[in-house]
Amino acid sequence: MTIDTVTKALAEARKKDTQFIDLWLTDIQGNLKSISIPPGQFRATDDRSELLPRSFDGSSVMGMTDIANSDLMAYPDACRLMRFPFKSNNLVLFSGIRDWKGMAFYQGDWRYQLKTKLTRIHEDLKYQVKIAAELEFYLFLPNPDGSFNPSDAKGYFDLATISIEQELLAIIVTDAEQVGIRVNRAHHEGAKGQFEIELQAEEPLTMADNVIALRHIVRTRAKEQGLYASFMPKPMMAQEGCGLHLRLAVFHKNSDNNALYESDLKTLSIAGKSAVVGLCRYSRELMLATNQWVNSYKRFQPNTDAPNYLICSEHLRATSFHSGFSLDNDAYPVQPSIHVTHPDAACNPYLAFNALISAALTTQEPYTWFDDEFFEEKLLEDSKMPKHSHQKIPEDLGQAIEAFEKSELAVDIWGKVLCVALIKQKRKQWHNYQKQVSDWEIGHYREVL
Amino acid sequence: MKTVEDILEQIKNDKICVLEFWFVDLLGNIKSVEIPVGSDDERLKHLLGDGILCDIASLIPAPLIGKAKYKENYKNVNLAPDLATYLALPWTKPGDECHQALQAFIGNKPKFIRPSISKARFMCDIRTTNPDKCFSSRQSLKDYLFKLKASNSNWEYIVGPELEFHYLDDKGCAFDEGGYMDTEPDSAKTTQLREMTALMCETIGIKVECHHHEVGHGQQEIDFEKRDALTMADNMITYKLIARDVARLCGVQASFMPKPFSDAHGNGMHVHQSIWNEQQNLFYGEGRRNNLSLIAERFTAGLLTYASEITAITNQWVNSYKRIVPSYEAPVYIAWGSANRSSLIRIPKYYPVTEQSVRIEYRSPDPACNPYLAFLVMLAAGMEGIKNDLELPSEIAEDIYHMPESTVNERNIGMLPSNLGEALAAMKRGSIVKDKLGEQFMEDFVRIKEADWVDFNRHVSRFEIEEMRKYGI
Repeated sequence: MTIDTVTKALAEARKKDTQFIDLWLTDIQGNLKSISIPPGQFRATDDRSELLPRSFDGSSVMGMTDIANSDLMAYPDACRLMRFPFKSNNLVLFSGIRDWKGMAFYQGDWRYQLKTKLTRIHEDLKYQVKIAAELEFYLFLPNPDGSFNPSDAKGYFDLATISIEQELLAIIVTDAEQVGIRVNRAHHEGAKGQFEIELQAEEPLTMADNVIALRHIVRTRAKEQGLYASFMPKPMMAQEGCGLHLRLAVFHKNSDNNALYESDLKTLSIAGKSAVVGLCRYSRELMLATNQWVNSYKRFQPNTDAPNYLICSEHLRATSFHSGFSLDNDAYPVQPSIHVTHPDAACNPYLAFNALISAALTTQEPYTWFDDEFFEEKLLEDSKMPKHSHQKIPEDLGQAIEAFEKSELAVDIWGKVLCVALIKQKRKQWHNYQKQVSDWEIGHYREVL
Repeated sequence: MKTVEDILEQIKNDKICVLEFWFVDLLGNIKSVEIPVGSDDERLKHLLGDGILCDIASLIPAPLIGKAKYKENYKNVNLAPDLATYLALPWTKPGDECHQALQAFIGNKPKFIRPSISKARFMCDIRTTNPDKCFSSRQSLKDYLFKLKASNSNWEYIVGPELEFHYLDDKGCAFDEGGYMDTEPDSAKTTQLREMTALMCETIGIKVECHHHEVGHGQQEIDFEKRDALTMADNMITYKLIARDVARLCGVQASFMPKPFSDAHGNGMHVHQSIWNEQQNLFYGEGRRNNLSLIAERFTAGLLTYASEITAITNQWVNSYKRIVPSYEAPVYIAWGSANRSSLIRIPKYYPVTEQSVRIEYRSPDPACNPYLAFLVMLAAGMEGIKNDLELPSEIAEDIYHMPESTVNERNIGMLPSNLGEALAAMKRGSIVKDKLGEQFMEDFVRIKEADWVDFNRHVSRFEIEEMRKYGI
């Protein structure tokens, strides 16, 4: 942070209509948390190098720390100031976490971890990463009996010009633009009540913040209209799930030269091949970061738009990584890129982006690890199924946890403490789910067995 | 021609926040992508000039599209806005008269938001790097009209459709009990909807000639002032959208289904048409029979000759053929007459006769067609008549519904296909559609529609069950 940004933040906070400063952070699952402080409490150090922090109970934020070391500090990040049109009296800042001595609290600050990872890539590898994202969600209409129905009966790209959903979509993208989230476009998705918002490419940290802020906008605006927005990976059995499709582009430092592709922008470069191999090789063991819920694994059913294999191809939907040969301005202005389709809309973007970037760039997999055939398009016939078991997407959260537990890369990325905390959380959820007796079992077995 | 810079300026002047790129799928259903204007002018210029890449594969019914096909033809096509179709939507602009009228109309219905974000729309063409492999109905019509203009010294195809539709309640029953040209109080509920829709159309430059209650309960008709076919097709798509949305505000459905009830009038889209050269109506033949020029007669002869081949396009649903049955003023017989509403082509009679008003009325299309394709194939059939100097058969002045079969045969009066299967077969046998719309279209359209037809044929209807029960079989 520079003196300028700090001064600007203070000036913004001193504006007459400011009621509160909201400091934002997330728990380990990516759920938004906020502390409000009055403008008078919002101050900087004497040399204006930093904004003063606010202490909070870290043990009550899931996955952050234990009860014996619970005093943590939220340091406002002055680089980004947001005022949401639906609550314009509050100034919102993302914040970093430090311990009570003001030292970096690496194990409980996934946002900071992503930030340092990017700095390292920038300095060591001389790369600059950009990510474009497509966020899918459902709008549901609550019934008097407490159940929910999709809010409309429309389909892919459908239009109703005077409708609550269309207006809501316009409001959401306008709000997003106002807080600096650059939206590429938005449209109705394939399923009833399902929508997609496509964001323009940004630095991964900005994009992760964008995802958090956009989910907040969507939820708030939907609720205003008596609707309920859901980012659940698979909210209905017979309908498509909600993904967070990402387009990963890598540039040489301080230039617009694409590092993943040769200069003709048609063939992958050595670094590009290595990135694809890295993603294919390591994504399975890092799926707890990209697909963290019991429900996440219901999304990967055959014959849906979601991938089944973590393999790369130029075209096939059913594979997770598309190396985008012909995508041109699709995620304007970053092209071409690697299209990643397995993360879901309910992930913690700080963990998910870190996982993907690490797998792609820091593992340095020699691309000879796969035979040349790997880079040719594979049809999903039995004979051509991937030979390597780590390319099959885990069938359930249990398998994903197992893979994550064995992952050395995960420890490398996030450190032992965070990994253990995440595994503990997820084990608990998986265990709770497993002991449920489902309606399916009752329906199929009770009268028969 | 408007340039990208002109449009950019207009967007700024109109204070537009969100752009909507409208386009239609193969069957004429309207689709849209929302694009925030944002502050990056370069990006906007790029979008307006080059369009956006879109994955429209999901617009094709999934089981019908093979994997290989998917990747080649429909992935990442370019959605390119037609700059001439820029339209700021006045009902989204707070303070506008239309916005206020809509506000008043919405009243305090709790379920609806007041539009607050000003939007503009473009009609888009679908382009691809491989134009033979991906089909866009709007682009095809545009190309064909351009060819017509270029090769025939500025000929223009002018159409004036009459659109019929029903207002239905949430159970699918007619929403009022009015009849032909009934007005309030019998049709108070639907008149209000119809008027609001027409009002909104007027404000965006869709000129309405008249609108009134039709014969059936809940049935309405709206007639449009004649226009060139491309603008008219855009207008039809827009009108249907607005009609549906306005109706939904009141919990009513505006249905363009060709035949919603077995025993009542169906919904047609009679198309009045003529060919113009600048300000001159080429269909006008002073002192000739019915004031029709030779060009008009040959055009009519062409339509009659190729009527069966183009019916799969003008009447594209299984349900379309439930409308084409004798009676209910529907066209069944391939014949023409001057005031005869039982024939396929009618030469309207009116007074006084002016050059402006001479036209022919083709009566088979229904409002659930894809208007771009319907206009295209009608024009193609008519032009074929002109090219080949086809002779107009003699007029049928009598009511054909009540003509003895022997007379029908004697006078050589053909019939339109009586179901979707026959229509598809006639289309495949013929050459008009294949020549004008191309192999890829034929393949996709026939595949989608034949699947419909097979599905329908497998369906055991309530009629059959009741009939069997009646006879104790």
